Amino acid sequence: MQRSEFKKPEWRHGLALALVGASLAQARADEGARAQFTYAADDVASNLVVIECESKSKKSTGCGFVALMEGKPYLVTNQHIILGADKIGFVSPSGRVIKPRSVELSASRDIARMALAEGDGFALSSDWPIGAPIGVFGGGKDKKKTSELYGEISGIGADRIEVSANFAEDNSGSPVLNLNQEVVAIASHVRESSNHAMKKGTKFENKTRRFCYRLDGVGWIPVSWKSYNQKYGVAYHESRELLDSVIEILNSWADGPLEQVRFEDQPYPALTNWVRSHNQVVSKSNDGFERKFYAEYSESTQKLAEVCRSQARKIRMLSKQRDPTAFLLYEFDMQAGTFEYVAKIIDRYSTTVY
Amino acid sequence: MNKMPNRLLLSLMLMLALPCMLAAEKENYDKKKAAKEEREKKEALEKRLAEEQEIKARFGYSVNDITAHLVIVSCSGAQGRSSGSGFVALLDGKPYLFTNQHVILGADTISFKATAGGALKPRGVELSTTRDIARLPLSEAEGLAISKNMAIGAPIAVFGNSEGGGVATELYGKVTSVSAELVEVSADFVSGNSGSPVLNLDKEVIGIASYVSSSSDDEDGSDTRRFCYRLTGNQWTSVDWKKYNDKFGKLYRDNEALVEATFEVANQWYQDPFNRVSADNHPDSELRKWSTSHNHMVNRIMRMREQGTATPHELENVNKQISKDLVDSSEDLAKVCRDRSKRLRMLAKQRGLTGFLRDEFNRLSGRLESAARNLDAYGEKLAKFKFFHFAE
Repeated sequence: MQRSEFKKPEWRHGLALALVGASLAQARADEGARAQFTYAADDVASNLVVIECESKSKKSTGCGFVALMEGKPYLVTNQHIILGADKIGFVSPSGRVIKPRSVELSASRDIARMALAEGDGFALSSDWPIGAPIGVFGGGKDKKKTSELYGEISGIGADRIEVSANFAEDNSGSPVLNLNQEVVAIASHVRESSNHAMKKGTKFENKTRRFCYRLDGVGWIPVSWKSYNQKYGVAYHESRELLDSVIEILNSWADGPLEQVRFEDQPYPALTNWVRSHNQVVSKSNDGFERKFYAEYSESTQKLAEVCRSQARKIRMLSKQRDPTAFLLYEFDMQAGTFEYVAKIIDRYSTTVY
Repeated sequence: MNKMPNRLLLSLMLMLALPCMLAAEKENYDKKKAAKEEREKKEALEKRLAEEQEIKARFGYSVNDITAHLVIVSCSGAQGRSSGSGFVALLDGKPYLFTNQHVILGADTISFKATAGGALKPRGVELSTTRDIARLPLSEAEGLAISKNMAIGAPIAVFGNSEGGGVATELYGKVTSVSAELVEVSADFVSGNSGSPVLNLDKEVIGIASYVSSSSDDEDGSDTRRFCYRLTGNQWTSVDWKKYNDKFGKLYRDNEALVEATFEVANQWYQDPFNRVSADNHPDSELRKWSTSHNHMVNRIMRMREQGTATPHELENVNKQISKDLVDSSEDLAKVCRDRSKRLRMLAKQRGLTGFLRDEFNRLSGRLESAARNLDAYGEKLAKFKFFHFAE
């Protein structure tokens, strides 16, 4: 470790559940944590919330919960769950519709809180010792039942904690509760450890780590949600979707570089145009002009790299704006870095197809 | 149609079936081997974790007891964002924030946050003249104690920001070797842990987690070694951080990135002599120039290949030309490496550098010299190669 590792695009908001690499000792510790809980998700269901979002490209769901802050009830969730959505619905697991009155965003953490007119909620914990048992509880409206995951606190930071409970994408925004039904933190993101020679044989090799933001010491910024979301949320959301599509294209090249690329009907004009043009190039693969074809193919992949670079520039500009929260500025910065990184990978790919 | 004798047919069937059977057997064998290796790896990790738990049990304290003294260091600069560790300790009765120089060098902005919450605002920067340590004076009065006593086999804990996750994690191990400057430990610290305190059973700091030495052919990590600088016996020099960082720190990071990029393009080329490389847009003009010229050469060779040759004499000439082009390209890239290496050696001789940065500039220079030698050898190999033949 001659220097700290620069962050590569390895942060992800929720991923498929990954038990691979989880040690037996940790599995036993998580079971031990479960045994200490005297309550289950159904006992706290009245404070759990299912969040249904709809944007022009897709529908998604996330979690939230009701907590008392400074004696007032708030619906709490992650910013990344609601950003970019055209419509957002908040429902309790029993089907009760919740209507928040206003939105406040954490200045630096991926947390949003929405004031509620009345009601009870979880109390906040003021203690989060390493090794303490925790439960991550979710709404799960679609399945008509709540979900629960158990583990322990495995790391403490100034604004977050790490837990061993195996939460996944669907759990984003869930409360992380202690044995006293108090909120310790909010389940926020999942990160897969990058593989590096120094991690071989250690517990960090191929490890999936789960982080939850603390709710103490948060600076809250009230926003006019509609205009904030329209101005920044939509750009953030669309950029994430665009990145997912590009990464899927790259993965598809590993299986068959000369196959037609899908995604012609996705909502991003730059990518749609590229897909059409690339598929025309690919359709010439059997024409017999080998050098000419590969030159065109290489040029086409370069155009995809330019789509990524152009998006990186656009997002980089947003990361320098004043209005977005520090969380969103960080996200824009990371997205721009990821697009640049992907463009470099495409550059490398295009040099090898000649 | 003539009917084949049955015996011959059977032999043919066996001959056809045999390779299939062999392939299936090999696949089966490979699967079993991979499963066995995975099982062994998992067992080895379980054993390590069990040993770690045993050592942890001997500690009468945990991260929870010292969160106010553990620090998450976050940096951002031209090369992106990075994160490391730090801690607050008392040295000669005064409180300092300790971290590694390599954690903060080259950053445009640096923030220090205690894991308990709250930002730390150091009043200045002092660097160890010989070791990769920075200490930043604080106004806070509390801090961890520092010990100069240590013994091989003694249990230790490393609490810090593993992988830059933004949280302090707990790692445990033992002291495995000691020198005047360094302590080697068995705790599995990784990137992001740079700057973490290495603590003894009495909650005293015996070193600062600093670097990992690993080899690429070490399959299971068993040869990986982890080193921590000792905090005692240091000479400290006070620096104007902004000036020092602008003059040397950023230069260090830029050169480090350039060395990585040079190795990357060389590796791309080693995979196939006719590979194009991806540094046509690199900010370094020499590397960019070489990349563009190399890629033009590859395109030219590809055109020659398409055109083909009519006579053995023409073919020989084409092969000679290709060899010459490739050898020239290897010599050009080796020259880029050697020129940069010389400049790094010069940088290492500048006044005002600490020993750590001097060593780093020399290390980068050495890497480029080694890359140049590899390119020479690659060029020699390419010179002997007959690339194109007439189709049989």
